[in-house]
Amino acid sequence: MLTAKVGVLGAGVTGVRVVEHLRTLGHTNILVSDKVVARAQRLSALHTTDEIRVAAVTREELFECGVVVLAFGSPHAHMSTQLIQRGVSVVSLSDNVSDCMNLLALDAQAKEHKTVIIVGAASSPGVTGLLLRSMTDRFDTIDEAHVAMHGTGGPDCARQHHDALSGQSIGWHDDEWLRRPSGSGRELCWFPEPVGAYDCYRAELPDPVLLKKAMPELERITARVSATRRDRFTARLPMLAPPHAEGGMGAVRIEVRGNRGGSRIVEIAGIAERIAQLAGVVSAASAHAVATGAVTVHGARVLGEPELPNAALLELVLASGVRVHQFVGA
Amino acid sequence: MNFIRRVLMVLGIAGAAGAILRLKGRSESSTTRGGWRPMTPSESDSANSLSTKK
Repeated sequence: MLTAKVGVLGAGVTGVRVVEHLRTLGHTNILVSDKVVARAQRLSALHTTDEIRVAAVTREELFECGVVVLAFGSPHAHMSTQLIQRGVSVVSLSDNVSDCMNLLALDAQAKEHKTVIIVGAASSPGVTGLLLRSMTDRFDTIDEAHVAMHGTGGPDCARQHHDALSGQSIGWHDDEWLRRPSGSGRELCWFPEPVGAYDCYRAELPDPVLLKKAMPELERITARVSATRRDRFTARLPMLAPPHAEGGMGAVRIEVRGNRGGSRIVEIAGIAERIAQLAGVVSAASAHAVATGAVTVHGARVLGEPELPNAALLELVLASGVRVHQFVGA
Repeated sequence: MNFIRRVLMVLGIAGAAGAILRLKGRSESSTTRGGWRPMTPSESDSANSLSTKK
């Protein structure tokens, strides 16, 4: 049993999954905080037993933890700064580009306080970095990575998805950052069953920035997200209807291109899973790695960086029931 | 008055044309044949596995 205190800030759809997986990984002292106190208390009542303590606490009490998972809607930079300054490591699920950039900018501060901040430890970004790193063994050299995602987690994730379709997408293309309007660049992407094929578009997603940090040798990186015609048409308007409590089955895929034995090779890996579940598993595994000392480096880090125990993290993710599939026969 | 009508008409036509261009169009299919099979990720880093027990 792991008795070190692990904090979870946000007791929504994803926060619930984070707590469940921390319990599965053997953590017995979990502190939960949420702006809606009743949600944290409900989660606490659900998981607390004679041996396991899941306590609903205030934000300030999270400063007692060794690592805190930020599972609420962005921005995370301000809270992360406060945590780092008190020597608490952070696992952030933020998928907002500017927020992720601000989190990466905390690198020096995190090193100074001997803490680590794992940026974008969710599904996309997050598991995409782990998959990218795991696929490197299949290539002599890798030069392209193209990510696509379908589905959303909780309401904050749905709002972020909506906003992402109205901004400017970022892509890495031959040594320069290219900005294109979100909602352009339609591509029919096939996801593992039962999700199937969806039209995906450029969007303001942080994946290219984080994957470039994870693997600087990449020459082309793009990220797309699935969207319906209504999503694209209403992207620049406020959300017309409140988002669902949780999106349905989602999926993530990463297409990696490179060379092997002098030939051009394309490998595609994908995961079909509820996005909140996948994000919860990845962030809980990351927090577990930090809490158990498996992450020995400091500063702002992203999943897929060679300094992190990526294979072990992916192993933990797969042990939770997530299945990775490979596209074959194209 | 006429000027305002013309401006509104031009904006309307431009908006309609923009909406059609945005919503219509062909998908570029990245992969059209094949299927998915379970994949076992690389185990090259298995020595670095994380314990769930203290």
